[in-house]
Amino acid sequence: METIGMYKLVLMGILLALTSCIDEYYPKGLDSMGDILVVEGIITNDTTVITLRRSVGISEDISNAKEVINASVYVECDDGTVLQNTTKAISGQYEIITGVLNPNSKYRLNILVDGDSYTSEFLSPIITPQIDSIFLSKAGAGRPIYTCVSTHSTGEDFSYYRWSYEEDWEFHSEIYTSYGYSEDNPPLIVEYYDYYNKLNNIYHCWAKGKPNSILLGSTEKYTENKIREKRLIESPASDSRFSVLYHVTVFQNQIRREAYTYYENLQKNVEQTEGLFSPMPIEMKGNIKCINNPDKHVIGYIEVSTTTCSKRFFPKSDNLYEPELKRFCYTSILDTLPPSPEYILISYEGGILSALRVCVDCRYRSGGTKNRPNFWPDN
Amino acid sequence: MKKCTVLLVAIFALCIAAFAQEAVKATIENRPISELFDIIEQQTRYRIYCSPQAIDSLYVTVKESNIDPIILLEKVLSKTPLKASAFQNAIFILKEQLITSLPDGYHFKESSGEPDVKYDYLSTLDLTEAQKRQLIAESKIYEVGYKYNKSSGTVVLSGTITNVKTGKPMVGLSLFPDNSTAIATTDSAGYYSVKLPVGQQKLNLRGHNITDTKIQLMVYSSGTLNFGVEEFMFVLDEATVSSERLNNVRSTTIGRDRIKLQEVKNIPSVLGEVDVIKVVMSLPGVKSVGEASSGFNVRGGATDQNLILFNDGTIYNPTHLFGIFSTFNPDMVDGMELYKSSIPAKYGGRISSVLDIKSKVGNNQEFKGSASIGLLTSRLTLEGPLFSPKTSFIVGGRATYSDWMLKLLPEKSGYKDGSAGFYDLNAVINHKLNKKNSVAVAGYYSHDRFSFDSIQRYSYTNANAAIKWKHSFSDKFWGDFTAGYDHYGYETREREQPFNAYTLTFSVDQVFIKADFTKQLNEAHRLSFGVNGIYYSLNQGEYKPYGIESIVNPDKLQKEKAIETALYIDEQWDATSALSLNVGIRYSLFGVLGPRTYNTYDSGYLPSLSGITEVNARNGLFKTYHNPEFRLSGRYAFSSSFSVKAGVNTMQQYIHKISNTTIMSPTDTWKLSDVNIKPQKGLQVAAGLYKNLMLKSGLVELSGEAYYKTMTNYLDYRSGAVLVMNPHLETDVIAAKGRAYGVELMAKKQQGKLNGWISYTYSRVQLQQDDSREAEPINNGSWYPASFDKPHELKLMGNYKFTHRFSISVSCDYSTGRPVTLPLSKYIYQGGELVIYSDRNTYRIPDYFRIDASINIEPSHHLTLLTHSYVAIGVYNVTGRKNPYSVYYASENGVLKGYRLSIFGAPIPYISYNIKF
Repeated sequence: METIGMYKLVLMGILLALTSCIDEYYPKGLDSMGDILVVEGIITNDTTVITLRRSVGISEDISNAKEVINASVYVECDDGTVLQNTTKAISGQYEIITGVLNPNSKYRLNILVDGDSYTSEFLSPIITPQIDSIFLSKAGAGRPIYTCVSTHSTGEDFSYYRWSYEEDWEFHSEIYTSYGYSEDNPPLIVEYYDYYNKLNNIYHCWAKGKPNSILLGSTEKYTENKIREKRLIESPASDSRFSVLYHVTVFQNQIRREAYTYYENLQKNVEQTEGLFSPMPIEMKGNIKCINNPDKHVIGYIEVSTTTCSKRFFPKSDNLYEPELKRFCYTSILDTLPPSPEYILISYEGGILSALRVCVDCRYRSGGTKNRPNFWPDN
Repeated sequence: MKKCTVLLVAIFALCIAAFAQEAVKATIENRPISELFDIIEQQTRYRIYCSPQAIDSLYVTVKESNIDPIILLEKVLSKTPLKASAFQNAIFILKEQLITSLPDGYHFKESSGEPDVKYDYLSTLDLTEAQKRQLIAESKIYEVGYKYNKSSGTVVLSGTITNVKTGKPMVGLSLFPDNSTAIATTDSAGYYSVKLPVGQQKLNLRGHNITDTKIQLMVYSSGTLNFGVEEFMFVLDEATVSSERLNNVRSTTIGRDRIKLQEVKNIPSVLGEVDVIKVVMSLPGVKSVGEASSGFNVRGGATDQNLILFNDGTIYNPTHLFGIFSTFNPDMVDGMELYKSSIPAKYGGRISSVLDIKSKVGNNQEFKGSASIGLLTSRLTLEGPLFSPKTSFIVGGRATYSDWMLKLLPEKSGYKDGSAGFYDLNAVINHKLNKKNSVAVAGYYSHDRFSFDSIQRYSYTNANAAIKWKHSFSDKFWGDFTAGYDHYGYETREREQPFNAYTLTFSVDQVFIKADFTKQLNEAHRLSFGVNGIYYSLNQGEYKPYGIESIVNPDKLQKEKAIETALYIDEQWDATSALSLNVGIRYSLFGVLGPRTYNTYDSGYLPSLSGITEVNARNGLFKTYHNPEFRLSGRYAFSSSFSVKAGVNTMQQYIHKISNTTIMSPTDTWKLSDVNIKPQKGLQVAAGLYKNLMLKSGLVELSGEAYYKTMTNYLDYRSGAVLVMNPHLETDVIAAKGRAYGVELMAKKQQGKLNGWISYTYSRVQLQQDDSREAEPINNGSWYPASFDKPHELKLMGNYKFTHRFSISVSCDYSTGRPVTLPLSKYIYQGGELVIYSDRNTYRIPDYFRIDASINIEPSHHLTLLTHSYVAIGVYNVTGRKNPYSVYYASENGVLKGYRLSIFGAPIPYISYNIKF
């Protein structure tokens, strides 16, 4: 329950005030458990993407998490059709061309890996309603900006949803320069950048964002079968996302209550564990099982649901974006060329003008790259 | 009926100091005699005790040097009716012969047909030295009964003990003769009844804040002895850091702790607040999950299995401010009794323990008050007679100003907009109609509110009102009749976005009646019997939109109504002087009342929405549960200082707390048993050894108790359980069973300069989901430790009195860390790190260890002062050990980290200032 979670969070705030007593701590002597198959994905129309990974022990480095690349993945329809992954798995992702899902059929996922055979429950596809809109909302000055989605269903029963998104945004450096360090000989050589050639300067950058948690919503508590304003992303009002141009693509799947409960529990188990009044963590079983060894633990719930998608650009809006004054972004006149890669030359005119690299080179700001998305408008 | 003559004799010591004479130099002119006392106290080791009324108009002129203080005082007082008497380093200024009468209604019980009885006023005054009891014993023999009509064998002595100063009955004093195992305890009216052999007897009088006294008696036949005793005035004199188990050896009850709150004022506490529940938690066998939890676990019971009574009303949430305080104002609480094992048949409804808290009775002689200022709370208590000494009142209030705590939070914490606060109010009126009837009315209200931002607000309320009529049918037969109303409710309001703003409310209302009778059949048999009834009405949850923009669907769960009634009878049989048995039976009946709709499920499966076979709508009484509950205990005393006891108890519980957190939280709801939720049942078998050792420095009580306990139909939760606003909760819970066992060892010393106790407990509590219909029971259906399973526990409470004004207290607490469920494996899913958990409660957090210390100072306790103040300075968690409350892994922006949360992870100094007037 959300309420309880909130309560406990805030309680920690109080206690923190008393004696500030939350510190990072890793208990010793935990049994090591790893190599559990984790199946992520939804059987959907067009292309079904299934990601297979193996878990690692709690105290191991997560970057060691193994992506499973040697599996065979099939989508099976109860009419007998079996569709196998077409491409070789890249970073554990398997693509299966599923085409149009037949609403009168049932589908399931089969996985063959390392001699084990896994299968999910046969489910009929849920036809996901369209996204009504994607919008930004902000409660007032200084408050965060939320990227929100709204949708509604004409069905009578409560609806449960799961969302995913892809974000792209363009942002600029604080200070423009025509110079830069050479890639080969960083301390000295200066290159020339063209302001108008967005792809070849360090002033224009693009960044990407992806979810880092499972995004869920339901209409269970409402008088209407409608999601009015589901907050998918929270960003500070000064976030560079909103400084030039922001684009978001939202993917929506309507899911079953069982799937919703399963995913919600996965997320709760890492979010609502800390407090005084937090519920005890519970391991729920998904709808995938290992056929040759039913006791084998496997993580995942394979839902069958069509995906709807919506995209939108958001140009900079003065009502939303509140630029943060970066006090360290000033220029200073030096006698010699900038002494270290920390600084970048801006101009020779009237002395050697330089500034901090982070103010000048947008690639040194959070997530900035020169990879301009294909669909990005020219202006 | 013959009125008896009353002779009140003040007994005082005429004893010559056994040490070297001291000299005084004094020069004062026409000044109050109290100034002379001050001079003597400053220049000698003597301390002077007197009644302020006796000397308030006495002015003296003295010009003496190098004179013995006793001689000086005798000289000064020679023309007054006062006399100075020295005993060791104390001088008593007393009237030579106090012949007066007590206020009407306090002398004696009706005793028609009884022969002449003498009534004596035993004044212990301010004598606190242990030797005083010998003085009393040597100085006077009280004759009981009619000399010329001697009985033989055993006779009964009864009477009432009152506080001579306030006229209040002295409750919970123990009386026991030297050469017998008989024991009596004064009841709430101060009444006692004890069996004595005929002849010369020494009767011991013990109590938490009176001097241990030996009364010399010459017993001829049954009779009445009413007398007054003086309670210690000074906080420091009361500093026995202990629960009272004086009756340990002699009573038949196992696992009972009686605590007078005044006794524990010197126990170091968090933030300088004496707290009722924290005191309870310092007793062996009582545990809690962590520091900020007022819910407690008794001998492996869950937090909802404790019946918490305050002036007969049930308290559902005993917590203020997230468990840092309990809802009981310590200034209003007189004492409490915790029953861990032998639960008297008059109590029922919970399967683990009973905590019976009684508020003070107002002073019926004079207007008094007390106030205290602490870091977080302030309190004010007023008491006094109302119109006449027959009626007294006591009112108390407590409020917090804890908002500052939230204001200290950094701007970015997000809780800057938060606020938290609570208050509680108490009022008790006692009225004595006549010798046979008295009435008490008690009211209680507590309210908590808190919010941490502008989004969520929480509040909850406890309210109780009760009226009690005490009637004495005869000397040996009396009854209490109680009726009352209890309420507990909470409200949560959330307004994150206007369209999803809502309020959620829950409440329990109950009306109860009780009739409890006690009859002393004869010397060997004492019978208690009675009837209880509770009518419950629970609002299981109401979910409402908040604000006009909200599209939240209003929802209200159907009300739950039920009656719980019980008949009980309890017989105390003293078979021989060594063997005593207590046999009680309680028959409880629980009836579920309509109008109500409920589902019937396919019995082959756990209740689930797909297994509904029938939906029923019923009115009136449609489901009953009834069960006998047995309460048996016995004692065999090998000597007056050594006994063994054993007992068996069975209990029923018809109301359950619904929460999947391990402790009490403000959003917990309660649910009554119904067609689909069966009552919880508890069984406890316990045995103990009790030994009192008389050492030079005082009595040391040793006890060892062992118990084994089972619980059935304990509510556990299924995976993905929805506990709030669930109209078919039975589909989300599962009945589990529990077992608990343990040994509690304790050594306690209540007298002398050093007092306190040390206890060690070994205990286990385990749960099991053994319902074969559950496909995936927790931990594969094997026994697993409950969250409050802490096998080893060592507690030490010590107080050392340097002088009457100065003492230090230390408390020390060690226990095994509690079990937790920790993740063993992690993986990336949808861009974030998620985890796979171990079996439930497989791991433990690090062990708990804490030392607290405090210094207690009473600047002055002269009786002549208008106010008495008391200061406690202390440090909680002296070593600053970061005792983890929990160890957990949490994800922030998709990245998993391990954390340790310590509630009081640093030494917390405190100071509290209390004032009495």
